[in-house]
Amino acid sequence: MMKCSYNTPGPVVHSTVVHSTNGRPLGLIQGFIESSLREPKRPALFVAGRLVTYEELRAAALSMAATIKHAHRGDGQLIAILGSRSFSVYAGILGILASGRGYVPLNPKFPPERLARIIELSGISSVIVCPEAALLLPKLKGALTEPIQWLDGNAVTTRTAFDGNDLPPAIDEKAIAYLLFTSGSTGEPKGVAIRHCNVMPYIQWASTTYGFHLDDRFSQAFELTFDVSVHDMFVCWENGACLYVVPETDLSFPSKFINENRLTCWYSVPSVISTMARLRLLKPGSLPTLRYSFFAGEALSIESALLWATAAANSRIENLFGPTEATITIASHSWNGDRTASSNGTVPIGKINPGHQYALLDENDNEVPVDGLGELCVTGPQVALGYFHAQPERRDPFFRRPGSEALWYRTGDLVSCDAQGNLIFRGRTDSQVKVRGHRVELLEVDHWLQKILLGCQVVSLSWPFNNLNCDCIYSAIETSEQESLIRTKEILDQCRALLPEYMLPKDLFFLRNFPLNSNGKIDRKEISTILTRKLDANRKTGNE
Amino acid sequence: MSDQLKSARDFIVRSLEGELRDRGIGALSDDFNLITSGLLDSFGFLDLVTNIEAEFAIEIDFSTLDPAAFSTLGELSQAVVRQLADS
Repeated sequence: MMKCSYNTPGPVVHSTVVHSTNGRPLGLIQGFIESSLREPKRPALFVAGRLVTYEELRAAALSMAATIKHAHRGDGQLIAILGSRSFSVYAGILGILASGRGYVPLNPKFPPERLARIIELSGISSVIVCPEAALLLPKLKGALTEPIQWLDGNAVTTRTAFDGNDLPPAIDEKAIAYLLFTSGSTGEPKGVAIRHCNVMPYIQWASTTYGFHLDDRFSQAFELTFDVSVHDMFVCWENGACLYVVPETDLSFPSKFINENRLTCWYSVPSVISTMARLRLLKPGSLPTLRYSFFAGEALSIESALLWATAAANSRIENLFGPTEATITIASHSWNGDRTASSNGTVPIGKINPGHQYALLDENDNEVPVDGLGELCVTGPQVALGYFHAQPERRDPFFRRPGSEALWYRTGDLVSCDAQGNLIFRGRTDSQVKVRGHRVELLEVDHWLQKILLGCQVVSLSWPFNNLNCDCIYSAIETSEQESLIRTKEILDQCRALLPEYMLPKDLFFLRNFPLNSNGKIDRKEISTILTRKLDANRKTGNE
Repeated sequence: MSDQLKSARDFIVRSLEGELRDRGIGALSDDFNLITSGLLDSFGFLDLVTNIEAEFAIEIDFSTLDPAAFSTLGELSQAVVRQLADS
């Protein structure tokens, strides 16, 4: 059995076990249950135009937990849930946790083949299907090789009087709270299992640091497959506040939703700022209700932060940072409006969460000089214990440093530290990119294109090239075939059946020979130059 | 349908020709949502807005519009006509 404790020197500010009123540790759902006992009549959730009280949501969650208890065969500790932005999906997640199990979110927007692979990789035997995803079921069933038990996610909302004994079972803090899959460079989605003892310190940290209260109204914009959604839900409910689920139609341009519902806490990827600014939706003082604006998932430029600050004039701007493997975010910076906060035009990612340690290492795992650039490596309670059923990797991102028992995680992020001790994000050590905040391994895109194209060389690049953030992916393909004979649309259609929308190349470019550098390796930089030229040429023809 | 509305609508449909062909989508109704249908992502939508504004020499003020509506073909065409009337 793997241990879930760490030999981390330095103060651990928060205990990882919080006891409910009757002394049982309930893990991630604890805050929700306690808030529902304290303030049963207060609103917990606003979804699809409906306001739901804590009492009502708890009743639905416990009813779902009862369904799971009766129907779930076998002793699997994980249950998947297929749904999005509905009452059922939130009641379902709480229900899974209330049954003492961990949840695996499945995004209905993903292709059935990918969902089937995730189900297989996570070894689950039961999936809750929410009504909004019911139509996907035939295709998903067709893509699966093993039989799965499908549970009806049509959540019951009977207002049963609360029985004090009717609490979820005590959980082992080492049990998995949720399992998420991220893009993997081998073409296989990579599972990251987060345990209650990883996520509880985060929830406590966020609650203490920001001082939320009952009247706060949190946004829920992130997809449930993106771990920042765990902050939205569980930091909100820990504090007895109300979670406002942003409808699909308002996601890119949420100002009307924010104002109509008088949200106080906004949390999204920074790219929302530039799209809103482009439509002139960020007029001075136009988002007056916000007191906190959190951004994570990609680099926050100072330019974007200034635009947001003008609109959300009463809001603090918090830049948060960290990989799924270190639970939601592990560094944060409260931006004070300083236009010169960093030398590369981004808001610093700030300081590592208390109770954790970091090191900036070079390729030989030696610490870089004080003002040097190194790979950010972290250790502490939020760091997961490794990948879920993963194949061994050439260079395991989870590692131990000489003379220490603590498990460290290499983030792959290139970071420097300024004179104030703030960390600054400067790029990646590998070909992982963020497409509108979504983490994508370009090698995974290459892998699938190579499969479709029967082994042609492929180099996928994020666009704009050489930017910290990107809008989309373009792929270059080495082929001797005549370009007129290549059916780009058919290739892209095949990709669409395998990859989520944000991983699809926007276009393909065919090169007779890939340029090589002096070491005989494919010259990615030269390919990006060629693609820039071709894109410019296309744009010109498009405008004529 | 006014001439202005028709020309706005036609311009939008013409701009999306490639995407529509790729997905095998034929005639569009006014309530067709360009974003939630999966036809455009938010960046694609911004590109479209840039093209519309250049074509009609206007700046559309989206702050007064409902995002659930302005990303439909009908409302976006209407927004162009309203802006043309204001300018």
